[in-house]
Amino acid sequence: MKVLLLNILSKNEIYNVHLSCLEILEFVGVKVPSVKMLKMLSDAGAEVDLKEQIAKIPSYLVEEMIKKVPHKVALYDREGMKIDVKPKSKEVFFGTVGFATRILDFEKGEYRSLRSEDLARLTLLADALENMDVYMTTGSPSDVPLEIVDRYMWLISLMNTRKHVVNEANHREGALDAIKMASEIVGGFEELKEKPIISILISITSPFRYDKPTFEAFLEAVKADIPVYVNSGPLAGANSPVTLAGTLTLNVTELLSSIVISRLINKRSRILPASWARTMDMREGSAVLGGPEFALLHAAFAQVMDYYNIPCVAGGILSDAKALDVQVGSEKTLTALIPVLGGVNIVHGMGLIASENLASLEQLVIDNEIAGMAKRIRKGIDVNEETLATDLIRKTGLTGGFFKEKHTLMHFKSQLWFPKVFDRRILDAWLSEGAVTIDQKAHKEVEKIISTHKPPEISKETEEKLMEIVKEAEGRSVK
Amino acid sequence: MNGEVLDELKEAILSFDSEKASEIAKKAVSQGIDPLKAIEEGVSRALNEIGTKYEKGEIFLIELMMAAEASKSALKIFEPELRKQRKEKKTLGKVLIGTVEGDIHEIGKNIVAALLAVNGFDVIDLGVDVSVDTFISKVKETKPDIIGLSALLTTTLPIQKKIIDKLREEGLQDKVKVIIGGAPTSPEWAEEIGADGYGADAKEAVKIAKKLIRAT
Repeated sequence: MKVLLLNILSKNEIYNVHLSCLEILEFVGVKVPSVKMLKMLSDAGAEVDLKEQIAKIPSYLVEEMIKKVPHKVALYDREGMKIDVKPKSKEVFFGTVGFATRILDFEKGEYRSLRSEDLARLTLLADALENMDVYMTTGSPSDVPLEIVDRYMWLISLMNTRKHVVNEANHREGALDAIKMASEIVGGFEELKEKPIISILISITSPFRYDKPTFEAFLEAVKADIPVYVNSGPLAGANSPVTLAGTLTLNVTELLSSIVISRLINKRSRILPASWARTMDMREGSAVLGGPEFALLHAAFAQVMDYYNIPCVAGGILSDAKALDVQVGSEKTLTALIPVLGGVNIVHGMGLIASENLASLEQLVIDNEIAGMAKRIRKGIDVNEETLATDLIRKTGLTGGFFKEKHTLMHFKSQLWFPKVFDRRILDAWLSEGAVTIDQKAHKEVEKIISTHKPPEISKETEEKLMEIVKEAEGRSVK
Repeated sequence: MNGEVLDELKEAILSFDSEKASEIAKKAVSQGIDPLKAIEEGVSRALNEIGTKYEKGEIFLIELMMAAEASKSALKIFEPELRKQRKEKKTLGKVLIGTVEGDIHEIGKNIVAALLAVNGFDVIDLGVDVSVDTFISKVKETKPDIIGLSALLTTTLPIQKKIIDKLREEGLQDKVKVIIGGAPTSPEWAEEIGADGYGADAKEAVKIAKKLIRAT
């Protein structure tokens, strides 16, 4: 079976993107708001402007670091299970996305502010869904002090899921507190480094800039050996060329800079380049996350990362629709499937709609189905003696009875994907049971899971320690 | 000790193993276990469990079918013993089922037959391409409570009507209830041709069959 299923770019085109990236890093450079880091870059061969805080990175350094960067990143969950994120893998992972400030309240039909209890429910639901592999904190609750909302996001996430948690750190203290909290849960910092249950997400500001607080968070996470999602999300037509090739180049260039920087700080650094490259709608001025270009950009991005042999993350399974409607289903399926076929290792986007601004528990259940279908497609078709079933077909001949064959019983579960909520019954069976639509069915599933699924066990003592970290941060922020 | 063999039998059916089910059934007979008891505690208990699991979506169609097959292979061993002892097994009712003349589609019909069996009906499966006359003579011979007519082609739909008309001609319409099914059928068609029930899918067919049995 082919490993990469979709080639958006030819080998030559990938190489041309690569050459453009090298040229831009060498002649334009990136803004690095740290004197110490600039000096390290200078020592490594970069041309540094200390006043403007710009480092122009030579091609040889970039190419060397691409070779040295880890080609596999292991993400752990609370039970010690790991996900190996690596290029050329047939296994693809899905995750939620952050960080919505509003939620669609299904029962009331209301669009309202997201609160702590909503985030807890979203996290618990994500914990239960089998195709949700990596939990990115879905929401930013409105009922906690804004200055330390990130600490509450970590707290609520860690209290409600066993799965690997990714959340944003916008400054040094935020990153340090996240590492402290995760260490409390696994029993120490060394244990955390050994089997990291969290990743820290930092974002580059397009084009080519790290802001100071974010950069400091990045340094702390890299120094601590914690996996880091480095996010680059240029907006084609606004802060990036409108041509998709140009935006892809800018996107890859930014991420290559983070690879060089992280390698210079810590040789064991674990980086996951994450692309959220998107386009601007030229009528509305809005960022488009559910369109065909979004899908194409990330499939192409994965191809470039595959060329570097570096694992990668991208946004996908996303939509700009505001309701659980036909648009949401079409866009989510499109932006899930195309990046997966291009070779993205982890696709984040489950649980949110309205261009990542609105959380929906019901959509999370539906996204679990879409992710299931995409995973099945990624697995492709195995062709071997057993699956060709020539002997069996010769045996059954023209009677064509496969329904009661052991071969069917043996293979049906590995060959066929089964939905949880998508309806496949006969029309009249569906009609006679009240013609329940998918959103209503998803809602029932949400209620069932929330009322039965148990959060991970955390001792009272650990819980108090986590709370202490949050309260200390709160104390500091008041001063 | 009897209990042990019957538990084994139940397990064989629950693990969809026809050969093992037949083997254990033979062992039970040789140990002199009452065949009625064996059916009740070995086969029926297993089928009940399978039926519940299928309803809950815990097992799949193929597993349901294989369990029904395994139970059939055990019943094949017990039935001659029952006849010897002039006993009859308890059933919800007798269902005669088949795909009508000119139609060789059997999967839907087989699923319905299996689910009926799992739910405690005694099912006689006439197979596919069953002529109108065969249906009528089998009704006379086996005296079922219900007959199930399957048609997958729009061209074979009229045969369902022909069979019902023929049952009337023969004065059998009050003696047997008719359920129809198959992709091109509908509740409207069932009403038009005077069928007593319409099964949209296998689960519906079983529901209707139970309802019809209760009404008689």
